[in-house]
Amino acid sequence: MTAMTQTSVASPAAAAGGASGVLYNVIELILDRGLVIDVFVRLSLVGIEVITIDARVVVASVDTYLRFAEACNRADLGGTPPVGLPGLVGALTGSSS
Amino acid sequence: MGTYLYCFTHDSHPLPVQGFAGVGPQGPALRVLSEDGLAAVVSDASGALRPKRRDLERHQAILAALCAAGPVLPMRFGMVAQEDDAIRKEMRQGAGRYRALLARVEGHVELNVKGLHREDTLVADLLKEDPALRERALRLAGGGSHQEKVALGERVAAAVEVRRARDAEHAVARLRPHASDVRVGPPVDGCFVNASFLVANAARPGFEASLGRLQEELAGSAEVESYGPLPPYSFVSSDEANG
Repeated sequence: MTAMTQTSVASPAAAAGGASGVLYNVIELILDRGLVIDVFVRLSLVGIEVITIDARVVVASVDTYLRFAEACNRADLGGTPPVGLPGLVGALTGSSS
Repeated sequence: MGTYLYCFTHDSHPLPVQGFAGVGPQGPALRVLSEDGLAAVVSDASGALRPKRRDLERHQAILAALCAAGPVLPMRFGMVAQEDDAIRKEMRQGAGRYRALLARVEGHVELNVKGLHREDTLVADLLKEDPALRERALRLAGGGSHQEKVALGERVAAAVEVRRARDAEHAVARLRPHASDVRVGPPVDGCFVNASFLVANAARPGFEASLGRLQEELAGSAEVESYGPLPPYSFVSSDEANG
């Protein structure tokens, strides 16, 4: 639902809630959008006490892949094991660490 | 000494500028410059001013209050003119363009929607949907070499990308019918959708209802939130791309 006090679930900084929380979630609009008048100076934002917005796409990396593999681990894979149960069980026992 | 600029609007705007502390350590009073039927809301500033978080909050709070009273063209944070006359000159030179932009945003608000997947639920969903992927995960079942884990993770990552794009398209498609314009943004903080909608006041209940349905559809695997009403930051720049 739309509300001025909504905060984004996954951002610890936004968990502060209230006006600061909303600001955090729309900060990229205030900094990167809006009208710009070229002949005017833009205040330098170096040193501003603002949480850096990570606007990059999640970088594909080995760390990311391992994290996903771990997530598979935690998932309830359920279902019927494929044909060849003894072989599979053997493999599971053999590879568990 | 320079002049900090918050927005342009019509000079017929109620302009409730009393009682606000502007950007800068002195928290200066707001002033209004009128020119050619337009008004600029400004305050005294120095170009060397080092802005703080508090200044961002003030900029946004001032614009939000002005927007509640009528159409406004919000400046990006941090615009400082050499002096008042430079702003007057800009208003004269750009009057036609600014009036057109004001007509466009009049009676509208910006609503920004961001969606974030819950990673574990997302991965579980993907495994449920894709038997081949599930098979590979089962084969490793918590073990497997580093190589095998990376290979599995890479396949999951590819499936995640497909799902992100699909859910983003779905979210925008659900909400777009209620908007006069849409602007899609970058994946801030890993969100799978970041879209701003220019929504007419009359269309807001419909937008809210669609958002609610979208949230239900994605419940469990993703959080989708909307922020606003906001000043129309995303719908005033001359170089903006639509949608």
